Amino acid sequence: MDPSHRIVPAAATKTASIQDTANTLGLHDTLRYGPRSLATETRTRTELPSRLSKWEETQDNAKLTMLRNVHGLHAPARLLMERNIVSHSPHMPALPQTNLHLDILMGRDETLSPGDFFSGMENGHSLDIHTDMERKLRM
Amino acid sequence: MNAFVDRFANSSSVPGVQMRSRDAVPADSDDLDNGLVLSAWGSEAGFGNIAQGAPTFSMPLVIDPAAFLRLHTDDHADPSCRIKLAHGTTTIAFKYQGGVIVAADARATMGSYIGSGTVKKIIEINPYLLGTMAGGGGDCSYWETYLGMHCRLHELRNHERISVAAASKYLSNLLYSYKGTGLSVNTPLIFASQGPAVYYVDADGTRMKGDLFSVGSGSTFAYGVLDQGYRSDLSDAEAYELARRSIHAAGHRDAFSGNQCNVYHVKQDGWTFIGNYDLSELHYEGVGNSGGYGYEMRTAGQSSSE
Repeated sequence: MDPSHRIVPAAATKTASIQDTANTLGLHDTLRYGPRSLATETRTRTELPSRLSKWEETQDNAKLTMLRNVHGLHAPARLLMERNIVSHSPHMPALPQTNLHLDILMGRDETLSPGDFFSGMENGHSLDIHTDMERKLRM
Repeated sequence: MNAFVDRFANSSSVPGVQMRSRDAVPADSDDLDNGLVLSAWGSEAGFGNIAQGAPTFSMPLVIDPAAFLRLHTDDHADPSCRIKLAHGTTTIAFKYQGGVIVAADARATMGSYIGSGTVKKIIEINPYLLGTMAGGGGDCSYWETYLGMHCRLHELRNHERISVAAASKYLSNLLYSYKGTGLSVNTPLIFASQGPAVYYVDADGTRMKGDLFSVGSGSTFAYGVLDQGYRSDLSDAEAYELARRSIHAAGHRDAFSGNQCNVYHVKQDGWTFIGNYDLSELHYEGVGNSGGYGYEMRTAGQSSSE
């Protein structure tokens, strides 16, 4: 995200793209993601889902920008580098993945949230271990 | 690490001049070359946003972008709409024993204004694949360029040329994912390649294989001439003549087609450009020593009143 002092996510610009579900042929991958209709996606989206999904990221970005302005470039860079190091999980992409170190760095080690109990519901059982491993090892 | 540094490199909260394009590599990947941005090096080769893979289109921030587009561009529903897209055409393609003939007129109309009389409506995707432009010209040429890129990628990956069935399938899948958005302004296309094969691909997701197709506002007039003259054992000269006569008939009667006619011949080893003919010359003089194509020319002296 661009450095910004916004504490609330901006209204998302509407875009139509098959980039996120495209396969190597450059087309929407119906086999993996099912049928998709860009027309309905762009028609009925209110701004609430995007606002909620970008909430934490926007707040974090605001804090990092303030750190950069007060302490200099090294402050956000070090924090982000630490988070990056800690995210390299050595495990296989099996389902419940908890990253305690990342929780500590993000400051949520002493809080309980619904995400702690209901994790893994969005993506569910991944059908393809091979792509998961590929994605993991390419990092 | 470079990504993190680049992200906060400007000291103010306003993202100043940045070398990064909006939808470049995400900031939290730590590839070695995520600092290199393609647009900064000018290596997009003129393809614009297609060079980064599947393109992303911004849509207006209204509840229903497709209806909004239709409101402002649909000439049939509301002739006083503000945006007149360039369309109106006649394109034909037919298959015969010597390959495939593709012909199109050259007029672009925007509402009731003739924008241009020299439009190249037959798009040369690669040396053995031709697509035609009908409906919205911008959409046609954009997506056919995209298709050309992927045909080339297919060739490089599979070490053989893409078949016309695969290319048309590719295009129809692509248009289907944008179906209903109004992005493709109903762009029927015709594919011709070695095979020989002609496919009709539509923005509704239609994809049909056939022997002869005519697409556009003047297609009914062209079909009349094409259907009465078509045989699969035409000679080359007869096939060129049939194509010219069909386009001339459409250009003569349809207000949205006319000006010029371009004819291409697709053979086993690729396509060749046969010629560009002015329709008024075809009407009054014809080609070579054949008479003019127009009714008065063909029936001169046959009426008892003369």
